[in-house]
Amino acid sequence: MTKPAENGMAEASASAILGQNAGPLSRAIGRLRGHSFAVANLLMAPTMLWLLLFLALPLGVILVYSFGGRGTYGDVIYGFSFDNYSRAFSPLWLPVILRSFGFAAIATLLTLAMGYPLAYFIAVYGGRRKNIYLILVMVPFWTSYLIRTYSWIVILRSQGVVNTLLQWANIIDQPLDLLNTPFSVILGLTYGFLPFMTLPLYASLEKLDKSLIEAAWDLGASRIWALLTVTIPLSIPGIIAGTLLVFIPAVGDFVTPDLLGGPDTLMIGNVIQQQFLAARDWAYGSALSFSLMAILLLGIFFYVRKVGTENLA
Amino acid sequence: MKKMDKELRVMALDGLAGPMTRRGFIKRAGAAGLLVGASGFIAACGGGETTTTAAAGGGTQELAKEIYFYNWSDYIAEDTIPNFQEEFGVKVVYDNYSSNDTLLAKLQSGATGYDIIVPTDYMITTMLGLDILQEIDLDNVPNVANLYQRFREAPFDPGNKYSIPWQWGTTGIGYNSAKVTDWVDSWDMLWNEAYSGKITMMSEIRDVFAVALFRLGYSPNTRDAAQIEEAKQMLIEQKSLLKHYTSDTYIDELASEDAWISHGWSGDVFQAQLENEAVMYSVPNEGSLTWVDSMCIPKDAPSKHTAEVFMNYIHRPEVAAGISNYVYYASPNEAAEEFISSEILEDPQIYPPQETMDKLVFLEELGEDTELYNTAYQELRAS
Amino acid sequence: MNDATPSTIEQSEDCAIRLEGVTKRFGDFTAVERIDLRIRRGEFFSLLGPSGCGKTTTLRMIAGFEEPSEGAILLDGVDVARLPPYRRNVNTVFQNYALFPHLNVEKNVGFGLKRKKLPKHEIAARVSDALRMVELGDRATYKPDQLSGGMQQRVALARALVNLPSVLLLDEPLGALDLKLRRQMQLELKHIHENVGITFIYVTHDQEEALTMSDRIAVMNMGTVEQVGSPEELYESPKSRFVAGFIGTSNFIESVVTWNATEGTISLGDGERVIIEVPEDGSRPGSVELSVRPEKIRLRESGEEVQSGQCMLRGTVRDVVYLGMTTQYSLHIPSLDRVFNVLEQNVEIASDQTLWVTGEEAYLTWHPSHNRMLPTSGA
Ligand SMILES: Nc1ncnc2c1ncn2[C@@H]1O[C@H](COP(=O)(O)OP(=O)(O)O)[C@@H](O)[C@H]1O
Ligand SMILES: [Mg+2]
Repeated sequence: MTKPAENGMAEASASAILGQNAGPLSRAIGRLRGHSFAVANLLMAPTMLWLLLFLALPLGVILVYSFGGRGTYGDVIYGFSFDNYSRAFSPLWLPVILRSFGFAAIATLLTLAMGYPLAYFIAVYGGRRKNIYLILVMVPFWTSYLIRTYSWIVILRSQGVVNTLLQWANIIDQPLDLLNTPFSVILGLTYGFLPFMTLPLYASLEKLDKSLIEAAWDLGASRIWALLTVTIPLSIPGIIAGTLLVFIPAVGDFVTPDLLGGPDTLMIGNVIQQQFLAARDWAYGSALSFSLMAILLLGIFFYVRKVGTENLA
Repeated sequence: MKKMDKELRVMALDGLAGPMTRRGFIKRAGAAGLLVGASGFIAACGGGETTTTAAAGGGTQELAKEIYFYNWSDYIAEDTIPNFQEEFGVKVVYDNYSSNDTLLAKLQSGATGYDIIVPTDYMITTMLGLDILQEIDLDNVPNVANLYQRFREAPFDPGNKYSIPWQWGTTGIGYNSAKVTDWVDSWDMLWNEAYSGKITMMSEIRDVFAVALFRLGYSPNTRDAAQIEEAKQMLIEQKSLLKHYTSDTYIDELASEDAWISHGWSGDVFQAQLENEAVMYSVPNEGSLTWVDSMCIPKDAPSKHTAEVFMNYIHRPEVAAGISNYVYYASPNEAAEEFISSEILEDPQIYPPQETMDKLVFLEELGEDTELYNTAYQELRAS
Repeated sequence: MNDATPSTIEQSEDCAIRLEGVTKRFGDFTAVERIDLRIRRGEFFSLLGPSGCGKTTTLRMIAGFEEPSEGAILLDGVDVARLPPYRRNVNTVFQNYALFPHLNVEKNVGFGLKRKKLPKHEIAARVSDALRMVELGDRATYKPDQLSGGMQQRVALARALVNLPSVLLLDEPLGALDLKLRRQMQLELKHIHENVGITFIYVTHDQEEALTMSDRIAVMNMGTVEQVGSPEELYESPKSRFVAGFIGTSNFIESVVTWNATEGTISLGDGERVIIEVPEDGSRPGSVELSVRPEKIRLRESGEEVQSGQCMLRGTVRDVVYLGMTTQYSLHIPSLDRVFNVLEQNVEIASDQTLWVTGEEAYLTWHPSHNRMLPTSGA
């Protein structure tokens, strides 16, 4: 192992980490950025490799596919054409995309409306039972999403729990059409993603210094005003994380509309799924995925900038 | 094609595991028990030994220690595999899938080591197009002689060069005879406004269009864009009457009377029938689709010869009949008729009468023209 | 103010705040037990006691963050014990400052005024006055995390004071500052108090801080108030062994007393004696507990040097701690089997004289008027 004098410790530990001669590389980095930076870079190498393997690589594959075409038997023909993108942005999908964003937005707002009080309750009043409550929030994860969604079919169908109860109570005499409607899809999304909202909200509310709320009360703010001016602004990071964690997968979800939806609840996730399976047009499916991802990324960027800075003004 | 586990399709895609319906659960549990029992049995007989056997038509060739059989779930009799293992001393590693899409995706993802797979007719064409199947040495499968003639000259594989049929069925209308007062003998039923909100259509692209094409008097395998467009318009009109598009949940929905009229596969409707006696099945007069799932050998199969021995075993009349008697699907094996219970053999829903048979068509892989259907389907669903 | 005795305050109606029989229980645990306090308007009043004695709990009940289990809290004559904090004209300076991290200094300070719906220009004017008062006029747009601990402390103070509360509550507001800054802030706080004329209730566990800043102090122990009085009263006339021990240090003597017409005597033989003046109320208890402050005691080389009317004990020097201006000795007193602390002023040391050294024998002497008779807790 060469140990260049000018790099001292950083070089030594970097080499030790790599278990081999890391001389020239880290020497170069060391000169460029300083020793600790070089070590940090090398320490991050496994993470980077991981990201590269499990994020960048599949994305790269999808990107390559998206410029290709569909072979006669559903195989991918590589090429370089924007056809798939022009098809992806065809007006045909506009209602589907609007519906997907609409459903996801409503579900996000509903999870926020339900998750916030829940997270607040656990963080502030949970006391010694905090962990039990958190586990209860996460319990649904112990069952597959599919099974949980199926159980909504049992609850909502015409002879399901809700209709049976309503009929038994003589509130209705004909079963309500609850299933296979936008209502049931939004309900399914809201239910399915509630923990994704609650947990980050809990994390940020838990961190929140309770004396800040007392300080607000002390300065004349009623409970509701303290909530609006102190608690909520300080839980913005949790709100951002929660809304993203709900909204993004909700936009692309296909299981929920597949199982709980009707003929008019097609979401963009279903379209993409159809391309990959039923239509076996992977190139088109890839272009659709990539376009959706791009739209979401752009949206997230503006959202985080707006919400993230607004309250700090 | 065994469609009852279609519901697992999404799950398989998701990498999730576990069945969701009660029926699926019970059957699954049973299958697991069967597997465990089978391997236990093998161990007991010291079945790990390599055995030599004389194939009926050919010379003597060594059998592999084990073969890998990838089949639709719940699609085999309880004793089919144990009996084979006992007789031939070959361990059968049995694995299940629940959709052609899953099967294809798995094969395309690389070498999988399966010796036998059971794709559906049109999928065989696709797989041949993708060049992932290998030719079967029929000398090792003399029992193909037991097949009905029409399965020996199926359009997707005349002469059984690449496929040996497993079980077959039809596509039609499942309906609740207590709720549906009209006579169900036409696809028109799926456009009947009296049952608005109680009708379901399958979500398979070609199957959906086949309904409208039959109703219009066209071939379900048409490559004529105008006819497909006409069918699309007809399907768009239908949308407002539908509860939803589903290829899996309609079994439950028929049983629970959430759906009264469902476009579906024969076997699925029989599943619903077991739970609700009012559920009936009908193959419309305009004609309908028939399908057959067939055993094929992938290109990379490790033990081709043993796979062929297994296929031959399957088409012994008693073995083929045993499967039908257990799973309630029709057998492609004519010689098996004498061993199939009369209850099944005489059920017109399973073994349709000749005039119905004459109107049954296989879906054909259309190659490039599949695109016509894909596009039309997207327009239908997005409309 | 310091000359106001407790009795005159009790009769006075000019109380900013009165606590009557206030008790707070957390489950089975009683954190504060039947506290009675009368705090004069404009007073700098301290709650002093060891950690865990219930100071914060008492303050939180006044602020409204905790509801008393029993008792009344009268703010300007009105019982507010069951009102929420935002309905009390009381403001708090929190120990950790509790500044709103998402708001800048100006908005932090203006938070309370904004709630009072004052006109914008008035808020701005009062906020800038308040910031000027705490010398942070140039930091109005800074975020709390851009300020030093001392600055944050002053923002917290301005944020509370700007609302002109009837009573300002401060819970160990200087606890997080280093000693030097702490001394400086003590003076500043005192100064601000004098300028604004608002009643301050100040919680601290630091007796020195309480003594230097307060008009009056309530010494708390295990949820109860041991004694209320001016710093001088508490120091010179502790009413309990706890107060005598907690405020400064004290030497304690417990013994049987023989009384004659003019005085009582504790005779310890061999010339050692403790002489006790007859208490004002004329009582002559058979046995007493006395406390004597270390700085009241002088050390002599022989018993002959001690005048007859003085108290005298003989002891052996155990420890010598030279403190510059003073020297602190601890001596073992064989006759009492006790260790006494003595604080000698070093001014008396002549250049040729040396300090006492460990192991030397010395005579401790003090004037009987320095003896404080404590109520015998057992009797
Ligand atoms: N919310 C509470 N629940 C239970 N016990 C408490 C609570 N708040 C304070 N205590 C207890 O009451 C006692 C007094 O606390 P505190 O008023 O904070 O003391 P101090 O401020 O004098 O240090 C302590 O023993 C403390 O543990
Ligand atoms: Mg405290």
